[in-house]
Amino acid sequence: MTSTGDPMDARQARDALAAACAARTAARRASEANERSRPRRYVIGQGLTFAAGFTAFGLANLMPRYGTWLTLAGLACTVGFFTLVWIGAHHGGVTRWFSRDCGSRRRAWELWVAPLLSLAVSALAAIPYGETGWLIAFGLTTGAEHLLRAFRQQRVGTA
Amino acid sequence: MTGPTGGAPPALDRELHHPTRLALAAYLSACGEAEFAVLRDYCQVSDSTLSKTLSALEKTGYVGIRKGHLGKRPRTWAALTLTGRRALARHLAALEEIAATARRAAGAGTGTEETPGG
Repeated sequence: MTSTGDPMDARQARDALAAACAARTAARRASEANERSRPRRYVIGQGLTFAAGFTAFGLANLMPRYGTWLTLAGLACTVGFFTLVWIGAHHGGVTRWFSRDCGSRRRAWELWVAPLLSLAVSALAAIPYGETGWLIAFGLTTGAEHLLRAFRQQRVGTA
Repeated sequence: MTGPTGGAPPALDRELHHPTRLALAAYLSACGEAEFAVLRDYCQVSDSTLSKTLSALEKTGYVGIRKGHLGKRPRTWAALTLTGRRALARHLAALEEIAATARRAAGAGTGTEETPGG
């Protein structure tokens, strides 16, 4: 860091702090607004590719004859899923930053419960069906959660 | 202006001293990446000014620039690096120190005026 030798009075310091605070608030608002206005096709696509990918991985265990093709299909779906996540995050020009002080309590609660429910359902499926059951159940429940979120987002948007 | 110990003044970062640079760094600190046009509209500067400012911050290692495409349109994305985040935090802490020192001095001055005999 190169320090400036210029003196700064308290008023200038307060103005600079206020400007920095305003810039941070503006960036946070912009990223939240982008998240709300993001087309739901991204979330639907994410749900479908996630479900298809994990189902393909699960079926690869169940049908070893088509194992290679199903694994390749699963990998392609995984790449598609992450591509959609990337494109969706960059929609609107500002991506979100992980921050401890943003988002309401309810949102944080929702963020944790959805993946935990998927994990619980897939763990239950693993008891009778093993690894195959775990993979398919996890893919389908997470995919369904994405689809529900997309339709809820649309309902909130139109309300 | 002196620090809390009354010695050297708090170290302000020369690279973040200019209001546009500070606004840019603060904006980028609250988001992962931001597109060139978004930053230009927020800072209300011309394309060339923003380009020069971003290049200067990139040279110091505070900002990372990525050129990409969204569909067929070329886009430029900027992000604050870890070094930039630390530098901004230090700069803001120094600014807060200056403001706090002035507040304390003003408080002490008021206290003396209120109790002229004491």
